This record gives sequence, structure tokens and C-alpha cells, in this order.
Amino acid sequence: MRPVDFRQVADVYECTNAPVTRHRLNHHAFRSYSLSLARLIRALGELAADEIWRSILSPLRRYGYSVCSAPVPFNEPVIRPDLDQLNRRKDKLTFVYPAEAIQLGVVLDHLTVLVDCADSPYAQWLSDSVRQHGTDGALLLRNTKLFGAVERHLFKFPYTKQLTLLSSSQLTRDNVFGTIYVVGAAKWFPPYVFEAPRARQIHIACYSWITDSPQKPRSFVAAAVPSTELDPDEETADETFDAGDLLPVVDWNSIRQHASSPETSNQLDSVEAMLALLESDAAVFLEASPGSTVLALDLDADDPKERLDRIDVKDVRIGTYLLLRTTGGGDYVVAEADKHFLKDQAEHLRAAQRHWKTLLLEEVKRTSPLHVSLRLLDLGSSRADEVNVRNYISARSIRTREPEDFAAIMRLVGLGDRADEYWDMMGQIDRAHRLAGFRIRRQLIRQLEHLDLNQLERTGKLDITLPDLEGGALTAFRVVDVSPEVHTISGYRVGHPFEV
Amino acid sequence: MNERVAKSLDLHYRDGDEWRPIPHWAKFLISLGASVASAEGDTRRIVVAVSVPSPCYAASFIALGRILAEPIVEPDPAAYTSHFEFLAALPARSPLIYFRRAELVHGPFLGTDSNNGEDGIWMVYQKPKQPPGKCFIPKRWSLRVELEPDHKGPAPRTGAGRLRKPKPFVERFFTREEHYRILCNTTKPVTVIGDTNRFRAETVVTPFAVPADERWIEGSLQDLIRVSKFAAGAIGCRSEILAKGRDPALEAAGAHTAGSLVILDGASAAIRRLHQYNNPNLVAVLQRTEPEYLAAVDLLNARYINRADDFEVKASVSPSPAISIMAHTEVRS
Repeated sequence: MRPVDFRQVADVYECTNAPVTRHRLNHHAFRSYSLSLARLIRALGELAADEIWRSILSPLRRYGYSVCSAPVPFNEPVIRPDLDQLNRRKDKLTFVYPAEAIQLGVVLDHLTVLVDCADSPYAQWLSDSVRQHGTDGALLLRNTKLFGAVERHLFKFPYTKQLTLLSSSQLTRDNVFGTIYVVGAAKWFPPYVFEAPRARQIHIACYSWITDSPQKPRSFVAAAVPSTELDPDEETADETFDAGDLLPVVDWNSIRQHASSPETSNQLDSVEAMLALLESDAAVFLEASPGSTVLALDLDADDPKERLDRIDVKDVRIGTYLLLRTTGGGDYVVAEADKHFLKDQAEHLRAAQRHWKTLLLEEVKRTSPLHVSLRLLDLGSSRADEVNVRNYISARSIRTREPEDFAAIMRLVGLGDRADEYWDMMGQIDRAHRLAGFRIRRQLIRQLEHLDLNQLERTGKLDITLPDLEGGALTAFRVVDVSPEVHTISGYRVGHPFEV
Repeated sequence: MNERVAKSLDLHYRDGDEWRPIPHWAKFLISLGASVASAEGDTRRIVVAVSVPSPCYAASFIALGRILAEPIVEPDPAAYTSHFEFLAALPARSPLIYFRRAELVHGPFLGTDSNNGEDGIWMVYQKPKQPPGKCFIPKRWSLRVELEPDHKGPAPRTGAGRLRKPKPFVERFFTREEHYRILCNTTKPVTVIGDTNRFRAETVVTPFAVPADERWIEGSLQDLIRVSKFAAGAIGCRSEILAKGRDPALEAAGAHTAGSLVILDGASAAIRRLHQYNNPNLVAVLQRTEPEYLAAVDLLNARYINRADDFEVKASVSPSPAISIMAHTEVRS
């Protein structure tokens, strides 16, 4: 059992009302770039959402966000956009959007200057601040993808190389720092960073032209003690860029289309799924039907057995850690079941499984799911409906819950006299799947005892290799966002992360 | 202020090699729990929302305040009747322990009888350097008797013993009479719904101490709040912890009595379980670091807007600046 350190908790309470000091930084070339990009986006209006402009604006915004959200130099190779490609795209737009293309040219001119500039205003500010406030500090970043680049860069400075890099989720623990340095706008971070601070003082730095109206404090309507409130920025007559507009926009439609394929049109194997955006520019579809579950990690649990849990998909939310298969095709439970439990029976049993499902699919194609469900009811099934018929066809289901439903299917597809034989064969597969699931779970639990989960909490992603699992690499991802809509997708897409 | 609650404000926690007084926020949470106990009404129940910066210790201290402020009542007739029937069925000469006049005495069971119209059991007791005595124990006191846990006779084994002398830490808070009454207790006035492991770490693992005659008497919150899940047997416990997730015991949530207090430890516990408890007094502890904090605040705000009346928390300790609270009353269902 992990002890709960009372001293640490007492320290957290002492950090209430920790002073938050804002620092405004300037950089002429970056300001010119940011504001010219803001002007271009304003000028484009709704056009900015068009695919052709989006493909140009996305890398430009991403670069701006990267240097606004992490202490890296402007010429950091990891964030450098492909200038040649952007210029080619600009040239193609010259005839169709001449005015906008000129504005884009201005942005690209500023960008050309920046990507050769080794300045790093944030790093300089950090170095000066740490020298002044002491080294008992941590650096909070929103952009966890740049942790590696930031570490490399800050290591060059004597005062900043000892800074601990943090993501917001690490600030839910009871570790308290002397000073937390925050890079970027306050509104980019969860409110608890300031409402339940884990430091005796907070210094936050942002570029001067970025307006950062703080998030509305979250409190009770009749609270006896008011919540912490950050002062808003002073109003300025200069041109500004709202911090909210700098954040990468989650384009759910684009992600969904990116993941779509011709198979999506196969209505028979379609499922309702929710789309979760994951750390490291990945996304995954999770089946949204009632009772659907997904493997998740609970970093708060102190027993490795309790860390691993199947949770309802409806309970997946921002900050949940999902465990997903990232190498090898298909379902790893199937591969494990065949290799370790069905062994030389696997081929025969899988062929039988494919056989009755193919016959049923043909029947559905010949008529309709509704017609098949009605026929099954006539033949003795009590649970056949359109949804269940789709489930029966799906490769992810093995057999029906009740034998009479299965017998009805067998009668419908002409295998009525072998119904018992098929029921038993599918039972063998079902048992093998359960055993394979337990086997994988045991291996995972063993691995979890040795893994550095702080790394997962810090970066939001951790690869887990199971040595005994055929082609078995799993990855734990932190959920960054969840699509507000449910999508209809091909069943085989469920649970497989893809790049966005 | 209740004397036991006042004593708990003098608890100390270990910081390295030193014992330090518990901080102001902890004292406030204890007094908050105590104030909910003292303000209960028959027709209305109290709902308190508490916002804290850390998930740890808030529910434990609120439970402590509530339990220390709670009057220690005689056991439920159904519980002592059932225990009496168990004792009555024992073979003669089965070895018993009996809490008699503030001390534990041992001796064999003689049988049952009726005295002045009241059923009871007879036993012989032996005190050091004194001749054996014989006593009649009325049925209503039967929970003060138990079978010796490590006996070798034919009677059924009952596991770890329930009747034990109080630890010195417990004696700082309860008299011996109160202690044995607690050991016969069959009602649990506090139910916490939250993270079982963390609650165990807070209540069982974390040491606390009280000063006495230039020394420290050490114990744990579990010694005082007696969570059934972390103790042997159900009798003698005063609180329970239920996992916020899938504990089937939650299905019986509606059975809680009007006098009991439910503490929803965490925003996710509040969101999942708030609707299940419409009768007991309720404290929802929301941690500002939880992803569901805002949703839970909205939920509690909606309950407040539909309140029967405001409720003034009359805690004996002033609120901590790190904690914000909102309290109201609702008509009991």
C-alpha cells in the first residue's frame, strides 16, 4: 500500500493563494510572424477551414504554438516547418487567391527569418528567473511532445539544467515545489494549476502580444471562501493575438475522414464508436455500444493488479490512460488464444467460425438484417434483432450467449444438424479467448511492476513490450480529448490507434 | 464543543523524527464533521459541499469529527438477541470473556436462565488472587460477552477476539465503559464512498499521536473511527468505506437511516452516487485536481439552487482559506 504522506498534504494546503507573477516577453521577429499569421487567418475568414488553406495554416499555427508553448529556440529542427513545400503551395494559390497569397508571402518571409534564428526568449527568461529564485523549481509545459527538445536545450544553461519538467497531470499529486515556472498562457492549463497550486510561488511567462484572459474560476454559487482568481491582462491598444486562438484546433471531421476507408461502407460490420484523441498526435475509435469496455491504467492504484482495469467506454474522458495495441495486426487475444490454447486445433476451429459467419453474411446480403432477424425469431431465437444480427456476423463475436439463438442461426444457414457440434467448437474458442485474456493480463501486471509510470504521466505515452506476446507491443496513451459525437465506422477499426 | 472532538484537535502527525500539531485545515475538517452531527433534524437533511486542494485526509477527518461527536448508544436489540442465541447454544463450560465493571474477566459458561423475568446467561469468573465468582448477565448485555477466541473446546471458533482492552491512544478519547459500548456497537453512522486503498492508507497506516505527561501516545484514525472493512468482524465498527465504482453494496444505499452521514470522497464519487442518497446527511468532498471537478460543482450548485434552506455550518474552528464550503438543507425523502 502506498503511504499517504501527511507532511506533503500539509504542504499542499500551505500553497493555497501562492502568488502568481506574470512576465511578458518580447521578440520582434516572432511578434511580426505571429501577428502577420493572425491577420492572414482573419482575412481568410471561413476560407481558413478549406482543405487547401488548412494544409498551409496547420504547419504555420503548429510552429507558432510550439515556440509559444515551450522554451526551444526558433531554429529548433524538431518544430521546423517545410518551407519549400509551403512556398510551393503559396505559388499555386497566387492566381486563385492573389490578395491572400500576398499576405501568406509576408508570413513566410517572417518565418524564413525565424527558422534561422537561434534566440530563445523563454530559455533566457527561465535562466534569469531560476538564478533569482533558486533551483527548487519545476517547469510546467502544455506541449508534452517537445519535452525531449526542451530538455536538450535547457541542459545547455547552468541554471536551467536542474529544472524538473512537468505536465499538468503531474500536478494532481501532492508533491510541492518551491517555484513552478509556467511557459505559455494561463488559459492553456487546467484551472487546478492555479486553484490548487503545488508550489509556493508561480511565475508564468508569455509573449506580450498574446492576450490571456484567465478561465472563469470554478466555485460554488454560495461558497463561504472565494476561489483563487487570476488577474486578467491589462487592456492594450496594440495588436494582439488571443491565447485561445493559438491552441491547435481539434478537427474531429478531418480525423474521422483520415481514418475512414472503403471498408467503412460495409454497413454490416459497422459499429457506433466514439473517437478519442490521444497524446502524441494519435487517435482511436472505441466501440460506443452499451457495455463496451476498454483496457485502462489507473496510475493512482498502488497495487499493480489494480492498476490494470477494464473500464466502460462511456467513462473514458480527458486524462484517462488507455492501453492499446500498437504493433501487429488484428486482435492480440485471437493470436494468443490460437498459439497457446487452441494450438493445432486453431486452424480447424477458426475455419468453422468463418464458415458459419460467411453463410450468415451471405443470407443478410441476399435479404436484409431485418429479414434475417425475423427469420431467426421464427426459427426459435429469442434475442435476434438487427443489432444482434450485425454482432453475430462480426468477427469480434464468437457465438451467441444462449444456445437456442445459436441453434436458430445454424438452422437458417443450413447447418441445423451440426448445431451442437458448432456450439461446442465455438465454446472452445470462447474458453481459449478467456484464458488468453488472463494470460495477457498476468504479463501486463508483471510489466507494470517495473515500468516507470512517472514517464507516462509526464509525456502521456509509454510503449510496453510483452516479451511472450506474439508481435506484442502495447502502448499506454493519455486521452487528450474526446469527440462530442458518435461515429459509425467499420468494426475492424475499433481499438487500433492511428496517426492524425 | 464535545470533549472528544476537542481532544482530537490536539492530534499530532509525524514529520520526520518529530510530532507536529495537525494543521488548521485538518482541525476545521474535524469540526465540520462534528457540526453536521450536532445539527441533525428529523425532517430535513444537511448537504455540505467541500472543495479541497488535495484528495487526501479530508474525508477521514470529517468522518473522525462526526464519529467523535456521535453519542455512543446501546446496541440494537436484534443484534444482542442474535448474539445471545449464539451464546445460549454453546456447550457448558465453554470459555468466555466478559466485560464486567470496566475490566475483562474470564471464565466458563454455565448456562442460560431467567432472572426477574429477564433472560440471561450464567458464567463463573476468575479474578487474580480472588476466589471464583458467579454472575448473571442479562440478555441486553450479551454483546459484552464473547467466546475465548483461542479456546480448544468443541464450541465453534470465532476468529479474532472482539473484546479487547482499549489501546492507550483510544483511552485518551473514550472511557472504558464507552469503549466496550463501542465494541458492542452494531450501527455505522458514517459511510465513506471513495478510494478504498487511499482511505486505508490514511486511516490505518498513517500514525497520529496525542501528548500525555511529556510523552506521546501513538495510534491511528482507525482506532477511533473503526472502519469495518479494515477490522475483523462487523460488530464494534462505526464506519464503512465503499468503493466508488462497482461495489454491489451500493445498491442498498437507499437503506441508510436519517441519522447517518454519507461522505462522497471525490468529484467522481459525487457524480456517480449523489443521486443514490436522498435520506442521510451528506458531505461531498470535491478535489480541485480531479477531471470531473467542474461537473461535480455544477451538480452540487444545482442541488443548492433547489434547496429547502441555507445551512450555517457552525464549526468550532474557523474555515481554512484552502477550503471552500457550501451547505444547505433538503427535505428528507
